[in-house]
Amino acid sequence: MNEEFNKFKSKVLKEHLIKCIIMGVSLSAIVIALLAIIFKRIPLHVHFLIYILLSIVLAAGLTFMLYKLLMPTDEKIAKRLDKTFALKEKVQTMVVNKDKTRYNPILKMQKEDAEKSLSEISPKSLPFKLSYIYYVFAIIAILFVATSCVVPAAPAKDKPGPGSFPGSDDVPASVIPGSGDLTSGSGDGIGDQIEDIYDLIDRSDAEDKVKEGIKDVLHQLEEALQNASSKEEMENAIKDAINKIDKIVDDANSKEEIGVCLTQETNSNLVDLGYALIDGDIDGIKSALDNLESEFINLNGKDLIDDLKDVAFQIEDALINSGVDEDDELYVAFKHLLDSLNEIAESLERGSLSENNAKDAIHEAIEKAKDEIIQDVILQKNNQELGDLVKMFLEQLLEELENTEPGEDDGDGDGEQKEDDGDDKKDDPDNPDDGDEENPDNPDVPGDGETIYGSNDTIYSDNGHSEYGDVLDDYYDKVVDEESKGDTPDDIGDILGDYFGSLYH
Amino acid sequence: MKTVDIKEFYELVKRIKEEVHKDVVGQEQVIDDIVIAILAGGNVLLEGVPGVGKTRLVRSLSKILNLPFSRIQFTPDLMPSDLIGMNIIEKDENGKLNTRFQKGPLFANLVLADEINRATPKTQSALLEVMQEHSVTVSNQTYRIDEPFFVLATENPIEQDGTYPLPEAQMDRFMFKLVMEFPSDKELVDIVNMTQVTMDEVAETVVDGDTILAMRKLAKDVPVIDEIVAYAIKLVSSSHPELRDASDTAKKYIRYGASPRAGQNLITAAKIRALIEGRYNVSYEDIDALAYPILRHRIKINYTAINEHLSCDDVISLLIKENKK
Repeated sequence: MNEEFNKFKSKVLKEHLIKCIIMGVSLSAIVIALLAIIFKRIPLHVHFLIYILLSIVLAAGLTFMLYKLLMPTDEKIAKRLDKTFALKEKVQTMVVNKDKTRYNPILKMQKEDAEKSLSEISPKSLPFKLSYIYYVFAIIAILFVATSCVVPAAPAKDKPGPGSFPGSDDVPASVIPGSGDLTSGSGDGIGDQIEDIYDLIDRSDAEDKVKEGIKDVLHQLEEALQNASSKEEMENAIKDAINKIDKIVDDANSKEEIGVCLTQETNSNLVDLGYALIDGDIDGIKSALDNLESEFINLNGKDLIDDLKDVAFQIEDALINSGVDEDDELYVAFKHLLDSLNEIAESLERGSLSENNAKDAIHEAIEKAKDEIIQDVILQKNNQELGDLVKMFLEQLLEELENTEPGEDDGDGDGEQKEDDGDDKKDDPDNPDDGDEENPDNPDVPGDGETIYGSNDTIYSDNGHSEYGDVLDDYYDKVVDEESKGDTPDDIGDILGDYFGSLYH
Repeated sequence: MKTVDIKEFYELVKRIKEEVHKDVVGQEQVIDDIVIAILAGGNVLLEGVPGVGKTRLVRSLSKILNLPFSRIQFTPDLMPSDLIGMNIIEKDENGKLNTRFQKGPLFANLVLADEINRATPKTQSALLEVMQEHSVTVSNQTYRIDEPFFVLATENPIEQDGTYPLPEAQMDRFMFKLVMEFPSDKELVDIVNMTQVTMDEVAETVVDGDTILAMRKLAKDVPVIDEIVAYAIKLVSSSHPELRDASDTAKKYIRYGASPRAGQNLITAAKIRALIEGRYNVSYEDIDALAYPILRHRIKINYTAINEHLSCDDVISLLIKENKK
């Protein structure tokens, strides 16, 4: 094809590339934005760099595909030139007949005439035409991207609330206190059980930082147990782990601190909210916030403004007094609420907001606070649950370690028998240690003749005080033992499970 | 055989038109179309009131083209043999009786068939058959008519009593139907001034029959792209209201559409027009311009069009507009 035509062709192809880039980028943005919206709603966290990388790859691929598939042919280019410059189909005729080999003087002259016409026109005068469809796609892409940025992520799934039986099906049997094999004494039995608990942690709905913290503690515990040279070291390692888990959960959870401070305030609804927070009572939280909203709705004028400011001040006071970190999510949720209340009060004072609109805004702020606070409380409850479960397991381990009789392997795998120092067992106040009598009920239990009543003789300590948790654990263990034997009727087992489950929460 | 190149073609056509204008005032479009028809090998049906210069035009053309010319005034009593000729009996020098075919006025290169609608259908058919075949058969003997052969038939639009309008099938034999409008006042002044000097045609010969044939042959090589051919065909087919892809205009305003011959004529004439315009290829503009003379006698409009005061040309304009979309 001749030089003049090729100049125009080159310009048209550049335009085509620009159009393909616009369309490729728009389509890519739409697809990626759609994916982002879907992942947010699942929810599935994907790093934003992944989205950017995918966008680039998709845009490049689509651009290339569109460029190749929609490449304008010479005939189309010729048609456009004829139409734009009113050449009366000269260029089209030239292009269509370019391969004609039969000598035809008219064809030859036609071609020369077309070339002459093209040479008189500058390629720059060919206007860049962008069809409306490109604008439409670009606008749709922008809307999709904007929507993907503002659509909120779906909240974490609401875990089963209080009352769930900790010994439910999703808990490996090996984790249930009282079960598991620790008689090998080599430490491998403990290690296996710790492995089981990791799975439980991963499946928990607690906060990631709590899960990771607890897993770190358990890793350290495993190392400590492997390196421990005596039973005492193992016990200390377990106690240390329990304390660390307590700290992790306490540091993560702030509802009690904030709840306690709220109960010190004067506004009765805030006090109720405080108590509900402490108890983790979701319905109580909803009720307190609804009552707070009603309190505002029933006021007008200056009373409303004053009340808004007062409540905001009290919330702020409670937050400061709680000592909770400002990055804490529950803290942030309350901060949002008090900021909203202050803003509404100021707008009312300035007169930039009508009372009706203010009450609508109050409703919105309260609803938003409700969602955020409840979400955070549920998360903190999940933290607490996980912490309690892991602690329960560790306490059982500790207990079984403490109950290891003399003559038993001391747990370090060297075959030496455990030394009996006589201090391992706590005395039963009603049945003081009277020597080496064999337990008539459990003749096979090796020991030093001490009589053991029940499955756990550590319930009552020397000073007559027993920890509530210890007592609870003991009865819980019995329930689980009996259930595992299959002697308990199903309906009774369910009732007992619900009862103990509610006690734990 | 004589050949003509493109430059010569253009120059010759230019000179033909200049010479015609020496004898005929105005009527530029009609003259252009008649030249196209002659070069395309078609025949023309000319409509115009008496005295607008139809006969003068054809006489002038016969001089310019150096072609024998005959004028036939059609009347109701005209017989086919009056056109084509007949066998006559005559004595030779020995006194023997022989028959000889006496050629009729159709045996000319340029024929002006005046007021064709006054002759009977039988006589009309005789003319139309010759137009189609370019030959005459009498007593099993065929006599060819010399090329180029061109018939310009006229219809008087005023006198309709005692006339035999041409049926559509026979109208189709004419490539063009042209309308000679009444001259403007200025043109009338020019006509009067010119004819005061002389009533004779003053045009000079420019070409001959062989040159015309050479020009026809050259024009056949003018390229036309498939898209334009398709456009021409679409224009014709969309004029048929009974077809599935008929245009809305055809469904609303047309009773009968154009024949396939219209499509052939469009392309043939478009090639000539392109060369006359100084181009070497056919364009959509050529098809659109020639659609009127080629389609106006082939399309029959219905009562809806008549009620809305639409002429055939108006309907053709709508067809073109619809097909352009």
